[in-house]
Amino acid sequence: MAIQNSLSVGAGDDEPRRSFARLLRAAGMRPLTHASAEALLADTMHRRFDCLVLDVQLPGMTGHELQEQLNASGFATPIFFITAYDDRGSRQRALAAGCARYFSKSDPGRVVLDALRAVVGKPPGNA
Amino acid sequence: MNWITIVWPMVASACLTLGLIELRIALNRPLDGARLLFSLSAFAAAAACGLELAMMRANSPLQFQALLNGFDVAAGVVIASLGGFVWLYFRCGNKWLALAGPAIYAVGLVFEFLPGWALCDLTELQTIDTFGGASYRVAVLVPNPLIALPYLGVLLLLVFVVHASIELARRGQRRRAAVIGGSVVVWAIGAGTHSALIEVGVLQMPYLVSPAYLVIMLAMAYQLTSDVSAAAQLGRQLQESERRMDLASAAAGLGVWVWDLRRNAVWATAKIHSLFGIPQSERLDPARLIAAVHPDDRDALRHAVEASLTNDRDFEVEHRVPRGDAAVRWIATRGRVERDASGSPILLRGVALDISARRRSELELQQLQSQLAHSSRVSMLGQLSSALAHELHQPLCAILRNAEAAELFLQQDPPMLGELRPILADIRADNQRARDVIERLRRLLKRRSMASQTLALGDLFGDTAALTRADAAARSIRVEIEGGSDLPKVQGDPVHIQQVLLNLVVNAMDAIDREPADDRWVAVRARQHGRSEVEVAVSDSGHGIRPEDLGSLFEPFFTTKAEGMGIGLTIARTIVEAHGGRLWAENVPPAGATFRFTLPVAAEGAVR
Repeated sequence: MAIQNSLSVGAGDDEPRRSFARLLRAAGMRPLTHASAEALLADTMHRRFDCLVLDVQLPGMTGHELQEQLNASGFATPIFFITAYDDRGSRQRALAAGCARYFSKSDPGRVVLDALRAVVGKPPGNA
Repeated sequence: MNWITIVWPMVASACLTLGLIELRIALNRPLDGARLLFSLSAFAAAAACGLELAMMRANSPLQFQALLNGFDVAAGVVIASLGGFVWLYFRCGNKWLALAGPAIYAVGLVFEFLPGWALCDLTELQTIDTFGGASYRVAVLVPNPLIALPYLGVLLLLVFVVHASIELARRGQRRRAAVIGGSVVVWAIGAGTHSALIEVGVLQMPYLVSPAYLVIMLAMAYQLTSDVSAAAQLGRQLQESERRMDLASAAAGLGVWVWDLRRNAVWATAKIHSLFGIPQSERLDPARLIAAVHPDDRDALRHAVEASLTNDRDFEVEHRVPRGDAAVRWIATRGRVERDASGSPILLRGVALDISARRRSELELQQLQSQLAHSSRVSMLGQLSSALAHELHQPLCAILRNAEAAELFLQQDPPMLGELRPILADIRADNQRARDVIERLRRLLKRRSMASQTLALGDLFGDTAALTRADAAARSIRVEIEGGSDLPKVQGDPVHIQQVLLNLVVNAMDAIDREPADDRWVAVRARQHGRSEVEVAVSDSGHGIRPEDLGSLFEPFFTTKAEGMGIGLTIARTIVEAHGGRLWAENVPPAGATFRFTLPVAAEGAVR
């Protein structure tokens, strides 16, 4: 089963988002990217995702707000946060709202990939 | 040898002596016309004296007639030059009257030299014995009515001198009027009456025009003595006042100089020698002074002097004088042009002052200011540091992800080499982004003094946006920076102006942070203001500046922030003013506070 990830990395910069999506593709996943929370919300109507990867700092609505809104609408897909703003308050807020994993952007890609595979139930190293 | 041959030569030599003395004085610069005319009258009197003596010893009526004609000419010269002398010496009297006497006398002379019109017919000579065993010749004269003409001339001279003397006395110079005017009047009346009596045959005596002139000589000698003693007195006073001025100027550290343009000579006080590093014994001239000035400042000094000579304004130049010990002395030289009546410059007069100490403290102040500006920049960047770290973090993370992705693509079988090209391009671009961040920081962190250049505000705006973007995002503030690229270039130091912009934007964000609001923004706008200025406005969505704070906003150590030092705005204003601009604050609803500053348009930018 192909994994579809939607991840939005904020602050109007698409380089971090593009590089992360590239890593996922190299690991055999099929990521979809969105430039903002609003763009993602518009897309959830039409697609099924195995996992959502969010940043906290986004243009417009923040990652936390997006998570809370999705929870409220009964959205059950696991949510990962990968952010440069790795402070205690932000982490606690995400975990309290039921996020699956919370990573810093400088964490090794291998660790993030292993966690993603664990969540979507795919054995490692098997594309 | 008898008393006649002793007295007349003595009179003649007295006339010559006084004439020579007066001539010497007259030829001093500037030329003294009055004394020149007086010396002419003395020489003419000496000539008349010689002719009088010759007439007394004439051998024939014909010879006597020739001597008499010469004598009349000499007497005429005495009359004319005395009239001119009084006119110039008194500087008053009626000019036409002064001219009329000699003119009428001259008409009489013309008749005397016309054949058949002689003023007197000379029939025979008589020898008269007198006391002391001396004898002299007189002529038997038959005058005709035209003889009245020269006497009328003398009379007019008399009237002119009396009138001029009265006028001079009224102006308060009674003594000069009495001595000079009186002597000329006594001479004219005495010599004139005596000659007239001889010519109408009442007296059988030699002419006494030159002995009578002794009265005038005595008067002039007296006047000369009092002039000389007055000059000596003046000289003493002058010396005294020069000593006083020397003392005063030395106490003030002033060197005083005068440059005589006609002789191209320089007079200067001893202080000038020491200021310009020239030995006291050395003679000064303009070239020597210019040569003492630092080679880089010579042209500036020359141009200032030339400009002052043409536009008649005072000049002031601050220039260096090299000292022996490789150091320089800073001198301020000021000068003023003095002109003659026709407006052409005759001399430059001025002072020089050692301003090294002032220059040194100005330099120290500049260094202190740039150190303060630097520490303010460092502290501001400290405030931005977490946001800037994030800014640096972004490209580094992207590079990490790209490298990891590349490894995975290479592990595929077969390796997906086609994916590597865009990855490497992205790594290169991210590296460049990280370098840009570091370069912007490095520029602001470097300790430097102000160096003005032509710069585009658009570039500065771009840097400001980049430096504040991360901080603004973290605080959820929208920073809108517009304009700048279509404006003329400005003159300024990029780092310092960047510092001002950053300071205003960070202040604005701090002001917004203190007030919770939904729409949080900072706007930077630039527009041309008049022809010569560009105005930059930084406004925010905060609640504005409290009216009671508006006055003290720019004072040092004034701050409304808990951790603020209160020097940011003070330094920003110092920087803007050093660029020739202004920085001020105002509340402009519906925005919160607006800070505006102006910068001068660069010379080449203004062409646009």
